[in-house]
Formats: sequence, C-alpha cells, structure tokens
Amino acid sequence: MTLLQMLIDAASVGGLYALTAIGIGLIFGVIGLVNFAYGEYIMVGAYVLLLSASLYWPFAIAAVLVFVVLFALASDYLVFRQVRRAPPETLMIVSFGLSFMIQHIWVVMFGSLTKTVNFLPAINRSVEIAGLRIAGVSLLQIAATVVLTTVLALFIKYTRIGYQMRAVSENPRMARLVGVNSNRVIAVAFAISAVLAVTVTVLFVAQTGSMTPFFGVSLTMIGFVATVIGGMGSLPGCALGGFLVGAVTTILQMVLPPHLQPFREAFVFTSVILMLLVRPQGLIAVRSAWERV
Amino acid sequence: MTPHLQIEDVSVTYGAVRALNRLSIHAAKGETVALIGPNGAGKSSLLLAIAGVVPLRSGAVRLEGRDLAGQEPEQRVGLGISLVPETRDVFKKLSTHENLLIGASRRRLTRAQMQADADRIYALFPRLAERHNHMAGFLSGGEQQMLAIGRALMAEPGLLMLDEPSLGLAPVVTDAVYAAIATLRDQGTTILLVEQNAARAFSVCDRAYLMQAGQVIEEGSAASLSARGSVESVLFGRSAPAKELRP
Repeated sequence: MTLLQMLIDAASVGGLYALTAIGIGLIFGVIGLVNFAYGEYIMVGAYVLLLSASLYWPFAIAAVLVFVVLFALASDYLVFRQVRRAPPETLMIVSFGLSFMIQHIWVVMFGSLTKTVNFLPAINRSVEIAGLRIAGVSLLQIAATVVLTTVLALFIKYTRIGYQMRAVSENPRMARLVGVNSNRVIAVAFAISAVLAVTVTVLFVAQTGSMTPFFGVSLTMIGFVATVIGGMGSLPGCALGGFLVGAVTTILQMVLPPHLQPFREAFVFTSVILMLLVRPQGLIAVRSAWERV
Repeated sequence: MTPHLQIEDVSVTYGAVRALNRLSIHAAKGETVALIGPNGAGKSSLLLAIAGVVPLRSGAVRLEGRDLAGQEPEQRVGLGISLVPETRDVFKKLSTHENLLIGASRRRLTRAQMQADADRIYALFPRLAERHNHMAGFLSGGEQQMLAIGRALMAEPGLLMLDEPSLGLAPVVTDAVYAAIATLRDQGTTILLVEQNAARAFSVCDRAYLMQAGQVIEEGSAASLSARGSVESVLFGRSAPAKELRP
C-alpha cells in the first residue's frame, strides 16, 4: 500500500469520525452538553434506512433525514430542555440515561442481533485513480466531510442564526436579554447535528451494511475522543481530531501484527491519553468567536 | 392616561434576602426617570425584574397597561423593553457589528434594513463605526458601554433601561454616553436610568426616585430632590431619612 493510498483511507475513516465529532462538538459548543445519546441518532437512522431501503434511495435518505431530525428535536424538547439549567455533569448523566433507554427500546423493537441491509451497493465499487484503487464510499466520505464542514462554518460565521448561536454559546442569559430565542437557536443546533448524524448513518450503513442497537456507542466514543483531542467546543478542532483518530486507526491497522489488531482501539485510546497529558486543552483551544460553536 | 411603565407593589427576594419591598413606580411615555440610591438599594434588581430575569414574589409589572407576568425576557424585548446591564455583557467573541445585529433579533428585518439601523447606531456612536469589525472583547470599557447601548437600541425599544452607564468610565467617555442618552430622550424614548452619580442622572432626567433598602423613599424632580438634600443623606449617610421609610 502506498503512502497516498493510506492517506486516502485515513481521510475516509477520519471523515466519518470528524462528522460525528462535529455533531457532538456543535451541541457542546452551544449549550455545554456532552451528548452521549448522539450515537443513538445515528443508530435509529440506520434502522429507518433498514425499513425504507426498498424505496428509491433519495426517498429512503429523506425518510431517515426527517425521522432523525424530529428524533433529535424531540430529545432536546422532552429531555434536555427540562434540565437546561442543571450543572454540566447532570446533563451528561442525563444523556447517558437517554442513550441507554433508546438502545433498549430498540432491542425490544428490533432484537439485539445484527440486522443487515444492502443499501446503495454501487457506491462500494472501487474506482481506479492514478493507479490507486479507491472505494466510491471513501470518496463520498471525504467529500461529505469537506462540504458539510465548510457549509457549517460559513453558516455559523455569516447567518443570523449562526451569530445567535455564538451569542447563546458565550452568554445565554444576555442572549435572551437582547431578544434571542435561545430555545429556537438550540433546536437549530440539534437539527444540524442530526443532519450530520444522518450523513454518518447513510455512509456507514452503505459501507458496512449492518447494524445493531448498540453500534452508535462506539461511534460516539470515537467522536467524543476526537472532540477532546481537537479541543472541546472548537469545530475546526473536532474536524482535525476526527481526521487524526482516523489516521491513527488506519496506521495501526497497517502496522500492528495480526494478533494485536483486535486491541487496536486500546492503542488508539492510549495515544489519546498520552496526547492529552502533553496538551490537555486539545489541539485547538477555544480562543475566538468562530472557533467556539 | 395609562403610564408607559407601571410597577405596582413589587417584591423580589433572593432566598431570605428581600431585594425589593412592595415598591411602586411609574414612567410616562417619553419620560426619563432616574433611580438613585446606594449599593443594595434594589435598583438593579428592579431593572432585572422588569426585564423578566428575576421573578416577582408579589406585585405586577405593566407596560402600557399590559401585565407582563409570564412573559420571558426575550418576549419582553419584543414588547419593547431593552436592558443595558451594569456589566454591559457585550458578546466578547463577536464583532462590534455582529453585536449590533444580535440586538435586532426580535425584529423581522431585511439585511438592508438591519444595516440602515446599524448605521443609525454608528451615527450616534461614531467610535463604534471605527471599530465595527473588531472583536467586542478588545474594545475599551467606554466602547463596550456604547456598544451595549447600541445593541439595546437595535431592538427599537419603547423603554430603555440603563444600569449604571457611567460606571468605571473616564469623564470624557461618560460625557459621550450621556450625550447619547440626552439624544434618545429628545427622540422620545422612555428611559429608566439607574445611577449612583446623581448629578449625572439629574442632568438628563425628568424625574427621579430615591431608593433605599428595596423601597422608594422619595420621588420628585431633580431640582426638588436636590433642594431637599435627600440624595446626599441617602447616598452619603449624612442624616438618615428613616422617618420617611414606608412600613
């Protein structure tokens, strides 16, 4: 495998992690909530895709999008809004509880065994570019990450709701005192994070074709780690952290001997601990307006 | 005639501490009313109660006769109440211009209309125009005060509440801020002004309330309060006006 091939693989895996990290980082940036139920947005989307896979694919994706956005808005309205003024650790525990609850509801509804679906098999075909064989889904993952990250950054920087988000993030009480409807702003943040989750869902399911009610947990953990590495609350940091975790994972997959490969995640998390010992604030500490949120 | 703002028997408590004790004041439309008193008199608590930030234990806040009970702070901005807090609380990580635009959050304006309104604020505070692209956190204290007032004005308030606008400012900056307040008064904005610098407040207000321990102890024009010596006695403790305290 050439270095270029490895970089593309790392960017592809990292892109998925980066999108997950940005989804988590966005909510953290706006309301200080570490949303461990984020993986469940991805997971429930996968099951909607399972149920709607027989539809023409744009309709299937639209169904996932509508369901997951409503699901995320409902989680905010019914759960997180009720504890908005609680300390951050309480919010985190609540998100843990919500995550477990959703997983077990899905076990009751769909069972705990792996379900499979053959969604958009065409995008898994490899294409040959300059002597490199690259899966179409890998290119899509990289493209989706670049496009969505750019659009989100522009949205936050230049739109009215974008600077309202930054205001709520910095001083929620004052934001209300100047007339910002913080509940609406937070709902928009949840909706955007749901759109990112749907992107992860579609790309992940198209690539692996499988799901269980628990598969969102590992993605959330990796996304959370990427968020911490990048710098909590920094969107560029989240993206960078996601790509770095993807790169480390890909490199370890290559260099670890076969008997150590099952422990790949342990090596990833060890490297995270080492990195945080050196730079506990993450790679990009939140300093300025466009970085926070 | 219904007053623009009517505060009726309002009490506010923080735990066991009573910040406002059955306080009543009013302001007519276009009137500038000063609230004068020492620290702990309850002036800021009154503004926060009117803005909907702190709940009332009893009493009512009415704007043009309408009881504001149950109205959230952001809804009150929509009804025409804007507060410039003592701490200014500009959004330090947003630019000066973005801070102004945030102030118009409750209004449905096109970009061109928002820009026109922002230009109006820049005309009132030319210093902000020079700094429109700067992060608000890098502005001086005076510039932040101007920005906080400008941001509040972007909501086009009928009632503007200013909490200690001269606090910590150099005299020349205070002059600029008070010149802007005088302009707003002349334009017909109802202003509720909290100030420890009584002389400054009297220079712009139509009427003033003297507050102590969560109550109004005297009310009158600047001239009448000055003549009675009440302000000095309350602010500097030269003679306690205990006999005038309400039960």
